[in-house]
Amino acid sequence: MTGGPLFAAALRDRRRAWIWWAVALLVTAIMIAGSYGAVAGQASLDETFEDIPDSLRVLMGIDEDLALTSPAGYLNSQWFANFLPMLLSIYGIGVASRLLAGEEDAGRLELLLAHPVTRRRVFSERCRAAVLLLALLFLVPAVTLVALAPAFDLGDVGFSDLSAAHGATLALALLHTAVTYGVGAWSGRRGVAMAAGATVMGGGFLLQSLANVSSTLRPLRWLSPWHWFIDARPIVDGWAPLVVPSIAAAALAAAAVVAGAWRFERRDIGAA
Amino acid sequence: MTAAIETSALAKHFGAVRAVDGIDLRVDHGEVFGFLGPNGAGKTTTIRMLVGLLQPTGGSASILGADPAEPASRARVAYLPGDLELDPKMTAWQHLELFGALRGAFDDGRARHLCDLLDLPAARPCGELSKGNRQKVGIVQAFMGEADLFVLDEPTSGLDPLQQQLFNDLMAQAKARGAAIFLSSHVLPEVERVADRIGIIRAGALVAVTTIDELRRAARQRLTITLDAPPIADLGVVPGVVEHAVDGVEVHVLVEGALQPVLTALKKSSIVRITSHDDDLDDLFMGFYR
Repeated sequence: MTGGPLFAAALRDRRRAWIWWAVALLVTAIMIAGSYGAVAGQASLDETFEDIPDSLRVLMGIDEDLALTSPAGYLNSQWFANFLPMLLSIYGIGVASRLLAGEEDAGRLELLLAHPVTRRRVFSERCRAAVLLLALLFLVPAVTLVALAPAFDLGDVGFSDLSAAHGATLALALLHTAVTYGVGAWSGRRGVAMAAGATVMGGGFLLQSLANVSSTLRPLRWLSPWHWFIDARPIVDGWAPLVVPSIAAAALAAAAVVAGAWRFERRDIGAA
Repeated sequence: MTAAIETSALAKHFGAVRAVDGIDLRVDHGEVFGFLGPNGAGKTTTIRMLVGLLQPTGGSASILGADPAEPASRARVAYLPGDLELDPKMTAWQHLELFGALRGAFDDGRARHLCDLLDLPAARPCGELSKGNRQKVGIVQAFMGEADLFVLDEPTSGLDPLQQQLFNDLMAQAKARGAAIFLSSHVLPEVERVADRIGIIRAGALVAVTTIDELRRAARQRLTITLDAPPIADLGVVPGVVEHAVDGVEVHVLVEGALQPVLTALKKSSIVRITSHDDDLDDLFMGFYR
């Protein structure tokens, strides 16, 4: 698959910001792995957290059945249930809103689209750039954590479960990125695109967290992609429970992207 | 031979706003067409329809015999937007390479030649360029391919007179090899030296298509005539004088048609100087509407 000039220009444009994000995630992943030693084996910590309200525990990513001090419980609560998918999603939402809607908002698509290029090509080259940037960024903390896990006593979590937990976070971030990109292509407004992505991400996160403690919200929790992926507990159960969530997320992402592309090919660009 | 541009009852309504309301236009190959109108008259909306950015809500447009919405029809069309926005982080040259790649052919020798000609610092990021230099990026990208149709929206904004002259030369070369040029402006001097015909758009409608000479004949002139003493004659009764005001030895007049009756009326005074104020387009429009 050749990238195309718009793909290449997008990568070049985002290169510097990507490096900063990569450094930040690299450092964070090292800190997460390196800090496990401080909680490992401290049974009193588990007891402490048993006393705090359920709602708070859930918001902190503490799973009822996973000891906070176990490698899986630690990684889940500190990394996979919140931090990593949140950071990757924020990056994805930022890039996805910039590369198409942001360019249009800034008036830079006008001359581009007056060239003999199809709008579908512009849409697709920018979309592929956003996905590639996110996927490459994802690899930085993922590879770091997998490589460091044995050295920091996190090796109890098997490679398959660890990679499944990573896969779930990437899927979440890709979904939020796709929604942002699709809405941006539809609306041509960066702010609208970011709001859509942030709403799905933040709303989904809150719903998943609160539904675990609120019986009122509980019936609605299937609406949250976070519930699909995080409550599937890939860090314990591996890839198998991720199949259905992945299909659902792929369908939702595809719907957002296809709808955005459909509209982008037909609507006015930069209308006064 | 098909026209370079042909529109038929072309219209664009944004809800209740009739930005463009039924324009019939034909521009031929080898012709420079000046598209004039005050700001907000519908020039840019028309142009955006011609390059496929906006879908008409009525009528039709064709460029080089094809639908502007089809990418292939824009292969031989060069466009310069009125509000050219460039990526502040990309250099001028990177923009030119990108635009060349989108056309499928980048003649870097030609691009380099044009950058040198216009004295454009191509290696600098566009965020560091002055408005005039950014505009040159737009001009180079428009003229670096061998387009058959140029659609230029207020192309010389930000250019100094010398650069305007270079730009006019580029247009003349393109015209000489048979290209059509559609050139919009809100000021007449920008187009009067280069346009074969002009169209005047006002409130979304084409109110006239004419030559510069015809327009001038219909237009009024605003003059300041300096005498050696206050005038004796009453200019209000002179044929063709629409407005007049006397300020000491200076006479301000707005004249329609020939100037001779005014000069005749002032023949008892000694005329020191006549200053002609640029016919601004609003005056031309006013002249047109009477």
